[in-house]
Amino acid sequence: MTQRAVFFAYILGLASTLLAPETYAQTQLPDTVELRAVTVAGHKYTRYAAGSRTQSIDSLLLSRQPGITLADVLQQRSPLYLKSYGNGMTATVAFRGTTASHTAVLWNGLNIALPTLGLTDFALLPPSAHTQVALQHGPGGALHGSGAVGGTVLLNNPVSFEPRREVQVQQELGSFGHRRSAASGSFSNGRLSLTSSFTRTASDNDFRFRNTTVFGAPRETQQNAAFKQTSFAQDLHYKLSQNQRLTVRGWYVKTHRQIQPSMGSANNHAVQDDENLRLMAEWQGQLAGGTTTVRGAWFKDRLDYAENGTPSLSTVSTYQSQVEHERQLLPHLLLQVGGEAQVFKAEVGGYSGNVDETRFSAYSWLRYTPVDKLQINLNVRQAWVQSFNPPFTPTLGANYTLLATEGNTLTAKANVSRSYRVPTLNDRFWYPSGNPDLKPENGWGYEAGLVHAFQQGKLTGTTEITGYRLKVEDWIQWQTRGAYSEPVNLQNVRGYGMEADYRWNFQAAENVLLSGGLAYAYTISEQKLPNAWAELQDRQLFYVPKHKVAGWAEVRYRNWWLATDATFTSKRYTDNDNNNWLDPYALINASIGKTFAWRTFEAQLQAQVQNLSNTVYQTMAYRAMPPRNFRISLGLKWAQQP
Amino acid sequence: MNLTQLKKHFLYALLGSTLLTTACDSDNEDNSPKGAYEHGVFITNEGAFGHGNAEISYLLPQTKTVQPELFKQVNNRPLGDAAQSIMFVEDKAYIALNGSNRIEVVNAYSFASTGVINGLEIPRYMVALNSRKAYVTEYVGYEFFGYTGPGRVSVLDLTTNTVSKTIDVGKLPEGLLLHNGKLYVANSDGNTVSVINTTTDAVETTLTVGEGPKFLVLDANQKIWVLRGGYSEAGALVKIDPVNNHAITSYTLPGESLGAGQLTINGAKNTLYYSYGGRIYSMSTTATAAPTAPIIRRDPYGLGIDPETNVLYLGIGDFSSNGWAIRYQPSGTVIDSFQVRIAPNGFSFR
Repeated sequence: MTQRAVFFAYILGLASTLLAPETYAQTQLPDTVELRAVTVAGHKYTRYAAGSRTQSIDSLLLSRQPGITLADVLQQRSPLYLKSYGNGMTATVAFRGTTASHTAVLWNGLNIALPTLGLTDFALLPPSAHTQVALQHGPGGALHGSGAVGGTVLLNNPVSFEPRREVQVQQELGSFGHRRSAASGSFSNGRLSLTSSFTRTASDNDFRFRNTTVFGAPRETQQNAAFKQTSFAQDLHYKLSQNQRLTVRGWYVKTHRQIQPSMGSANNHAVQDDENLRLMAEWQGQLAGGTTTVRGAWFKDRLDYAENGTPSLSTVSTYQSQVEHERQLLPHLLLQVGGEAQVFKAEVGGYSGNVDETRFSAYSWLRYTPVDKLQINLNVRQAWVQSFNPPFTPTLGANYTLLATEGNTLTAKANVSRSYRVPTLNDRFWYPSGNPDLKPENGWGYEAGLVHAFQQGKLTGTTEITGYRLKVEDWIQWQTRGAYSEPVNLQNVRGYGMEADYRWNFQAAENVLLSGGLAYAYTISEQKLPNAWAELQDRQLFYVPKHKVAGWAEVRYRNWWLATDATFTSKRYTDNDNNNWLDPYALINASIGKTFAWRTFEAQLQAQVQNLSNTVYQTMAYRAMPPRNFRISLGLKWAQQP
Repeated sequence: MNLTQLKKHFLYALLGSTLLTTACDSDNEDNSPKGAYEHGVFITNEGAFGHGNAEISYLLPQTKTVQPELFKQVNNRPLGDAAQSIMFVEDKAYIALNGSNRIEVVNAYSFASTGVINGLEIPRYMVALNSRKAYVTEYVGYEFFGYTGPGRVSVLDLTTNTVSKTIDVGKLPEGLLLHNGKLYVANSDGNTVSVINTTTDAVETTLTVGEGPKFLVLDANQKIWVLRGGYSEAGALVKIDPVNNHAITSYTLPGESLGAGQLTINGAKNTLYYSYGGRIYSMSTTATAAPTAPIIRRDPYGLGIDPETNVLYLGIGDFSSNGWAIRYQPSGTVIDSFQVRIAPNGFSFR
């Protein structure tokens, strides 16, 4: 009965999300007329991620459509299952049969999950055109800290001093009042580097759908689902000297959303206003034979929710600092040690007062390469949280090259890793149901796999297969106690699965490039629950599809491109007991575009069809999703590379 | 799975009608079954708020069989969001969905959907004056952090499935009771019971009963009992004498000050069963003080009593997994249990 009161803490905080794993290696193509390949700089973590699965997401989407949210990117270019409360609404991602709370999101090395909810809404992350997105599947407590239980999403704005001057603007229009504007500029003279990016996206989301949940199954127009989002990002890099650099980054996102009601629920005119300001400064220098990095950051996250006009307000300030030192101890031994501190100051309407929390952790990452074919990582982290004792989290992993011939490389990888997740502020301080006595969750993951890379003439490709086993203990779940729900350390979840990933690139002729990929995940993630005879049975966690396939292909011919992506998602249960489920569905998107170039000036015209087959589907029970819809965009770019 | 359910459905129908025929042998009128679900226990599963997974489970005590998703099974669609209560009026059943702001109307014997009453705001509990007119309490002005009110009672025209009139009452009106042409409404976020004249449909008087009145029942002596809780004062059972100028007698409940739980009365209408502070107690309507010892040490989300057998039904569960209907003897001895759906909050016996 008092369900409503805790609903907000509850539904967002714990009724989480899922998502199956996968990713993309890379078909890195610049968005220019020449079909020139671009290599992505190795992520700093990949040096210490031997034996685990880390992949970059195709950056083409972001550069073609700056301002589309990370939710859209992952939906279109990753086989991860994205659970969305509607188009543009709260969207979450989970790895390997865990939930949104078990997905760490790091922005240039700093965790940006909302400390109140303990998760990240991917609809609130419209990365700038120059953002690189990478995914690490599997637990990674030692590398990524709290929350990296199922996997980690890494957002990076790399440092580049390559001289350039560039200005880009883009305008897109689409069905249901969709409009998106983007503008960005980038400059570097070799010593100072600046990148600015502005985007604005909005939609009325007034699509038509059949409401099968009410009497007579009428056709209705979606109500209360409009949104608008503005973002501004600024990067500044300055070379203090040949071996010292200073970086300042800022990312501000302001989002106003009506909250789409579920199909069977009343329209309560809910609106949510989010404001996320993230500022960080980073100094890096070569000191004492190693590289030292110091980071400081301040985030301010405001989340105001109102239903029928009555608000629930929350503001959290987060202060973070990191100090890292990396050095080559021996010719084959690379070491990085570091420490971090986080302070959260929360003013939340649902708490009985303001809440502060401080967290520290220290870590050490070691990479040992005794021979060229073998890399071994041993990473450890210990965290200390005010009134908690998270477990010590080690990771041991290795890559071994089994075969390396002309055109073929076969690598075996294996990894054992521990993870932890500190309870969220809502879990502990929500009044009156928060439970300050919760223990942190902790988990173990074991995985092994093979990677095959080949190059034969103009055909290149990679194939990766990974099998894993995962367990999470003291999984936090909200349970009723009398009239209230309260979080308790309830479940133990065990899972296993397989991930396969295949992608290729074929230069068919001088000006014809074909590329494509296929990714598949088989995911079992179970907890034990009583059946009707009170016998414990294994039940698949809700919103974890057993099968997920994503495929995509693109043809580029001269300055034209034609691209399509398709996904298949199997049945997903919508409750713990597997009473109800969402039917399997397939989704297809397609786009066609052409680039016109005149010296330093370039124009790009693009048309897209989303949900080409007009599939009726839901990723979250009873949240209607848009039918077939169209978008058209025009971009203009001026670039000078002196 | 649909086929299996269909088969079960027929099996239950068959079983139900056999029992029914036996039970109704003494009635000389129409003893043919009116539908598969004419008799049995209807369990309201609230579901998780915002998830649209409310359901009605159907339990046939004679065969100890449960159809956990009766509404979906018959109507092939979900019932809605947050089922608060069910009311039977002749051949119709009405299910109030507080998250959907509507009342679903089904045939009481077949459970097939026949209509819907829209235009409501967080409908809670219902009571019918006759087959044409009913009342429903509504949480108007209920928000996350502050109940602005006013609460409301809507008058329902059951012939057209529409709201014919609204009456403002106190904040967060919950249980309601019809007696002698008057409607008594417990205003749970206040300290009053509103008394509405069912001829004029206007509030006639407002009785002050103490903090947090929630549910009402009528006993064999025509006295009205109110269960109230409260965080600033101890909860109580409050007896109202309708013929004596609504004179009030209060029976303070032992233990700390808490919100009221559930209240029900046995078939003979001489023993109250109620939950308070996570325990279940029973009290004779002629007792001079509230009992200090509980009969069951358990915190029910729903509480009901079979008027024929006096078997107690407790609804137990959380908001994310199947709940349980647990049966107890009136003495407090457990009998058995049945798995139902999410958050069982009430029981109706037919």
